[in-house]
Amino acid sequence: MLRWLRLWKNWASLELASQMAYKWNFFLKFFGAITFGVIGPLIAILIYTNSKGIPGWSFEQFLLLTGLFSLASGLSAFFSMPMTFHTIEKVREGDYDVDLVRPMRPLSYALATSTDLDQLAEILVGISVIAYVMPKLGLQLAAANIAASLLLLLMAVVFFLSLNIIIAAFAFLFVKTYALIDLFYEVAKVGKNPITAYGKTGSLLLTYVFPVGLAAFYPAQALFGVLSLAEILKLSLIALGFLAFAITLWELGIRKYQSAGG
Amino acid sequence: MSFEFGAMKLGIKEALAWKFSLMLWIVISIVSIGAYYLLWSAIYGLSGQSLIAGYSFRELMTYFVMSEIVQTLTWNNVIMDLSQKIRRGSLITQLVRPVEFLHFDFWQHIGNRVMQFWIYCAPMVLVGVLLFGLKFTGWANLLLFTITAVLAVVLNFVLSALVGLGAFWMTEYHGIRWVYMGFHSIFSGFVFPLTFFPQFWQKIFSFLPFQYTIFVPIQTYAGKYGLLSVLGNMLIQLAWIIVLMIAITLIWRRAMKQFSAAGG
Repeated sequence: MLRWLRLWKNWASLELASQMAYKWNFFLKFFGAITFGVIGPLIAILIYTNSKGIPGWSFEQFLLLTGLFSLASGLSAFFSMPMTFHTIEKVREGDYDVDLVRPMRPLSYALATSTDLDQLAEILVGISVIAYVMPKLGLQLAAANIAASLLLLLMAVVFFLSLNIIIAAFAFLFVKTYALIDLFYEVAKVGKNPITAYGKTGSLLLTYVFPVGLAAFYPAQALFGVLSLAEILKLSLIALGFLAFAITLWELGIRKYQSAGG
Repeated sequence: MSFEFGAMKLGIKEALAWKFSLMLWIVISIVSIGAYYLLWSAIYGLSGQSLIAGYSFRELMTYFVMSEIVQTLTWNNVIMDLSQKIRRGSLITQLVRPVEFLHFDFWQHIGNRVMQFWIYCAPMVLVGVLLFGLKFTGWANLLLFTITAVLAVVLNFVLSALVGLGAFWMTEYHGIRWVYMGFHSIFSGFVFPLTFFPQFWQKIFSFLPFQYTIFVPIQTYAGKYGLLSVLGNMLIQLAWIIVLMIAITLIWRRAMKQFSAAGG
């Protein structure tokens, strides 16, 4: 673990140094990412200024969802998004062999060399929205609710991490998989909204099959104190199960990998 | 004209190489609009309003389907393409050819869009009708929409090309592209109909070229404008195209004086 952390730290420092080589570009990208990041809260504002909003959800509660979603997806992408692109590119070019002979498990190595500083903007948007909306929610925050929400937020990060691993694993099986990134993330975007808005079947699918409800809805529910301990544990198991599925798919992909060159 | 057809054929071949990705985009669009469909049916149900920001539920769904279609038609990769060619020095190989680079790129892009229309947009219309109640607003609106959409394709191309030219003065250009894309997706009406914004912002948007690339063509299709307004909008689109083309010509000339390729 220490060896992994050392490698991650060195790689992150290198990434920072390479970004700082073009400071203006970095700050412009940051500003651009902020612009994209505010689209979620902007949609919330536009919906609630023009209508009564989503049944059962106040403006502040809906805004909290967008903040939680940005924070979870931003954190996960910060640690794992480049891994997905690197894997797809290396497999496509037939260069993945090099990573297979390194003295570290391929997935560990892929994650240790995957830091995306561009995601700092998304994380900042998420934190800002949550910080803005929390006092307005008027919640009597119990320590247990905060802990449960943080646990489910961690599970949300696990969900997005699993998603990135799955997309990367598909590269070993189908090679040209860039479009899958768009597909998975477009589906994941439905998690920005309360999953109850998608009906009973939709809610079940988004909890048990493609558990994007973990991205924002359930962490928010935990904060509101409406989830029981059993439900929190069940949701955590779903997220960890999704991760186990992702890792299994990755291992299967590695076994199927055929070098095109090297 | 044979040169333009040649460039278009190249664009068609380019689009065909990505046909499966484009087909996958139909699935992506269905998911995206499907989520909006369920969300907005809940919102309309709760509010009891038949119109929200001037849209009935069906009109709003029509807007979302059309925004996916118009976005695909008007999208281009000029900023990325131009900045990469400048940064890597490969622009020099384009410059020694007996055709103007942007002229060639434009016709190649048109060929690409024609193919995208058949692979993505036409099936998407069918999907829109069958799944989301895409409304047919009449032949006259369809004709006017076609004209504004074609102008929107050209306008978005010249707008992107102008932004892309900045790469002559910056080594890394992803930042500018991100900022442009962020603003474009909000100000063009791709994310949301601009009528949802307060009047003040709508006034500001009307002074910018972005809304003429997505919002205005869709509103034209929806029959939200009178004939005079539609013609006025077309003139504004044309005016923007001319102004931006003049700016591109001036900047291109200036850039050529100082351009030095590092590779090739």
